[in-house]
Amino acid sequence: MHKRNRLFVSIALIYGLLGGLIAIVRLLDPSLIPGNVPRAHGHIMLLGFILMMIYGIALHVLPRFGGFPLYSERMADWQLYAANTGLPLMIAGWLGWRDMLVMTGGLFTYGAIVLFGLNMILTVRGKGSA
Amino acid sequence: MPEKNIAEVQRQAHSRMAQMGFTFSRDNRGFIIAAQGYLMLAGIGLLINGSLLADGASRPAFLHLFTLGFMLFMIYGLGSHMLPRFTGNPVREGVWPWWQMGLAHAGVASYVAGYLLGWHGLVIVGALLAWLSLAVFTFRVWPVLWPKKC
Repeated sequence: MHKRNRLFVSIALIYGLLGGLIAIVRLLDPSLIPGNVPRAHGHIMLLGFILMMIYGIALHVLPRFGGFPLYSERMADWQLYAANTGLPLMIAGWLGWRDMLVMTGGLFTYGAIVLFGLNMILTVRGKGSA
Repeated sequence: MPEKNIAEVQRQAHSRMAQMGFTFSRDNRGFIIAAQGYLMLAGIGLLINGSLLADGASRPAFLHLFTLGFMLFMIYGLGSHMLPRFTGNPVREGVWPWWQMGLAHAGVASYVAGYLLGWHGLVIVGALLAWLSLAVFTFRVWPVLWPKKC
C-alpha cells in the first residue's frame, strides 16, 4: 500500500479520535471549547474521518478493481496536501468565529475533492499510462 | 451436475477461501452484520420524523445510529479485513476486536438511549465508550499501517 494512502488512513483515524474528543468535551461542559463546536465536530468526522478513510482505501483499490494504474500519483499527492490544509483551516475558522478561514479552508477541501474525483474518473476509464 | 454435488463444490470453495484468508473472520462478520442492524434502526427515524436530520430531541439519536452504528461498524469490519491484506501486515487480534465490539455496542446503545430518554449522563457515557472503541481500533490497525522495521 502506497505511503500516501497509508497516511490518508492514519490521518483519518487521528481526525476520528479528535472529532470524538471535542464532542465529548462539549457534552461535559459546553463552555470549555469556544466557537461552533457541533459544526466543527460534524465536519471533522465527515471530512476528516470518513472522507480521508475513503480517499486512502479508494486510491488503493479502485485502480486495481478498474484494471488500470492510477491516472496521476502527483494529483493524489496534491489531494493529500489540499485536504489536510483545508480541514484544519475550516476547524480554526469555526472555533475562532472566522468566516474567512472557513471559506479558504473550504476551497482547499473542495480542491482535494475535485482532484480525487477527476483522478478516479480518469483511472477507472483507463486514461492512465498503461 | 446433481444438486448434492453443487452444494459440496460450494462448501469446498468456501472452505478454500476461508483457508486462504479471503473470507471474513468471526469478529469482522459480526461488525458487518451489526452495521446492517443499526442501519435498519436508523431508518426508523425516517418513518417517525420523515428525515434522518429532523428537528427535535431524537435527531442526534437517529443521526448517530446511522453514523456510529452503521458507518463506523462498516469501517471496523471492512477496515480490519482489508488493510492487513493490502499491506501484508497482521492486525492485532485476540481479545482486542471483542473489546472493540463490546465498547462500540455499549457506546451506541447508551448514547442513543440517553438522548431518547433525556438522560444526559448516559449520553456522555455512551460517547466515551464509542470513543474508546475507536481508540482500540486505531491501536489494532496502527501496526498494519506502520509496522516496526526489523
